[in-house]
Formats: sequence, structure tokens, C-alpha cells
Amino acid sequence: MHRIDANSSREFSRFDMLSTDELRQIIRQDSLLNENESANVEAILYISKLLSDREQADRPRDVAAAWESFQKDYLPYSGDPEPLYALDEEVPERQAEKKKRTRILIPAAVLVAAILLLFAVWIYNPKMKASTDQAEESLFPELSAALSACDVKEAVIPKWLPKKYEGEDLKIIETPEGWHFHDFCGTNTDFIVIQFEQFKGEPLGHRVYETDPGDPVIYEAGGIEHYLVTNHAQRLAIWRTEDMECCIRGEISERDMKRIVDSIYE
Amino acid sequence: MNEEKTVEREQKALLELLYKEMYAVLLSYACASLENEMLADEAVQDTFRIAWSKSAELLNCADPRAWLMLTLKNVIRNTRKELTELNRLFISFELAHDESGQDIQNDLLTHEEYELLSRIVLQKYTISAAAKELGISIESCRKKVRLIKQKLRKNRQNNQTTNSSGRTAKGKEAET
Repeated sequence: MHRIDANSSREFSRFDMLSTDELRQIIRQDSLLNENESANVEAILYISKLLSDREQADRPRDVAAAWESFQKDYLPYSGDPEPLYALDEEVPERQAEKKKRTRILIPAAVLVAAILLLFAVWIYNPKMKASTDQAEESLFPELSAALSACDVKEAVIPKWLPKKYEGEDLKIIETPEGWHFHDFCGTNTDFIVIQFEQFKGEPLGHRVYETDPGDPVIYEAGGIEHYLVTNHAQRLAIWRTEDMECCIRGEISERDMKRIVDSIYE
Repeated sequence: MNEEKTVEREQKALLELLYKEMYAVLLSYACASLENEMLADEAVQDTFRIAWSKSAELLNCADPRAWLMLTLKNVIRNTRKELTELNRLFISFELAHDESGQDIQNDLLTHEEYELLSRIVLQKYTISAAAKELGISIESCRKKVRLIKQKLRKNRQNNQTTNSSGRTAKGKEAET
């Protein structure tokens, strides 16, 4: 990786003659451009570096303190690729994400081909058909496949959900710490979200869950303690397995949430 | 497994290096754009947070510094857009309050929510500064602001519907 000022200094040196205020004005105008309007990124990087050097000479920036604050305050949320000021409801965000979903890590084509192949074998092989007829179908075929691909062997996926939450929309994100699985079930107005964090090693931090005041209800199922909490209209079930942090949330009753949790271990 | 861990460690080391090299440069850009040092610092930190979540994409691209700059520009655009929207919602909320003559703040927003909204809109608090003051995490504070925005937006839509149906009724009365 070359440094900003190594190759580009000759080409952009004309900016050296501009005053600090003029440099700031160029940057301000550049920041007002639309996303689609092209700007010379190298030139902007050069100008920013020039401005930074001048400002640093007057008042050095405390990069060490900024790094410390980054690690403490921001890094724990590095699983979320959305900007901090993405303040719209989660539903529209999800729709926008659908368009951007170029980073699905399990190649969809391979998955579809495998499913078709299995289906063909199942159709033409009466023995296999008989045996799978008795087996329980997964409510979340995409999520099951994704977790299997990531070598997750622990039972974490529910086998029951209230009927209206059928259908899934899975998003998988790779983070420096591991994988983040986010499965959205239901409609835009009535939904349940199932999310898992799988850690490759020791996690840098944990997801923070906002809850209403009061102690959580501890609900034991499958030998694991599940924390049932509420956050405004939503109810959450949060638990940990050996290398995963899991959460199910939605506007559902405590009874239904317990039934969902129980179904994981059935 | 060990190889994977080594790659991970190397990635983290590269990201840290990039942070230490680029923080001040990006901060200068953000300060000039947003004309608010705290908001600028938050935008730069958020840019690196996003970079961390997309570390593979960042480190494999041809020019990671350009990637960071483009991401920062998106973050700044988004920040401006959202703050403008919050400002607009705040004005609608305050106007609705005056017209009805009732204390609708209690019905719609809690005292804590109203205080948080005022801090951000009137006192130019950043989400991180508000979080620090409230003693909560940045993510929790963001969720609170998100909820406030949802409430205000829903309220504005309701008001618009009531106003337009009121106008239609009045129009019909005038016709008869």
C-alpha cells in the first residue's frame, strides 16, 4: 500500500499554494456532491492530507486517544455495517439491504443446484422418499444450510414458530470476529428476527441488548439458561452456547417465546 | 485453524495501521465538511467501524485509503440527511404542540426522549456525546433516537391524515 503523498505529490502540488480556508472550502463543496457525481478521490485525499498536516502543526490530533475510544465505544458494534445515523426503522433498511445483497457468502447457485439435485434424487428414489417423509422438515432451510456450512453442530434453530411468521430472509455477514447470521421471518409489519454471532476465537466484545428496566426471566431449556427480556413492544430470548451468541426477538407473548425456545431442543 | 488465526491477526494489525495513518486525514475532511468537530470525530469513528465490519472487502480493494474516503463521504451524507430529518420532525412536533394547546409531549415522547431529541437538534449533541451523558452505549442511544424518530414520523403522518380529512369535511360543508 503506497502512502498518500508518495506518488501523487507532484501531480497535486498546485494545491500546496492554496490557503487553509480555500482547502476547507474545496472539501466542503466536495462533500456536498451526490453519491453518483464523480470526484477525484486521489486529489481529495491529497487535499485532506495537506489540510491535516497544516492543522496538526497548529494543534496535534490525539490519535492514540481516538484509537482507544474507537476500541471501547465503536468496535463492539462492528457486526453492524449500517452507518450510525441510519435511523430509519429496521424494515426499510432490510429492503435496502436486499438490493445490496452481493456478499451472501454461500453461493446461492450452488445451494439451489444442491437442493434441485436432492429433490431429483428424492423424486426418483422411493427408499429415500420414505425415510425423509418421516423426518421433520426444517422451518429455516437457508439458515440450516448456512449454519451447517459454518460447521455449527449445536441446536440453535427453532423448529416451531407461530404460523404467521413463515418465510425467511437470511443475511450473513463476515466480521473480524466471525460470522453474523440475521434471519428475518414474517412480514414488514409483523416479524420475528433470529440472529446468531459465531465467534472464531475470543470475542473482542459482546452485542449489547437494550431492555426495559427490571430483571430478566431466566428460562432453562436444553440445559441452557435463556434470558427472556422485553424492550418496548418486543420480547427477546438471549442465550450463549459454546461459541455462539444467540437472540430471537419479536412482538410475541412470553408463552410463545418459551414455546419457540423449547422447540430448539425438541 | 492456526493459519486462520494468523490471517485474522494480520488483518487486525493492518486495520490498526490504517486507522493510525488515516484518522487525522479523515478527521480534517470531516471537520471541513460538517463544521463540527464532535460530529466529525463520530463520522470518522463510524467509518472505521464500518470498515471493520467489511474488513475483507477493504483490505482486498485496490486502494483502501480511497475506500475509506468514499465510505466517510457516505457517512457524512447520511448524517446530514438524518439530522435534517430530525430537525424537520422536531419543528412539526413543536408546532403541533402549540396549535392543540395540550401537553402532547407527555403522550408522545417521554421526558427523557424529549430531552434527548432537544440535545441533538438544538444543542448539536452527537449520538456518542448523548450516550456518554446518559451513561448508555452508543448503540442503545442510537436505538432511542431511532424510536423517537419513528414516533414523531408516525405522529406527523397521523396529523397530516387528520388535517386532510378535516379539510375535506369543511370543503363538503361549504359546498352544501
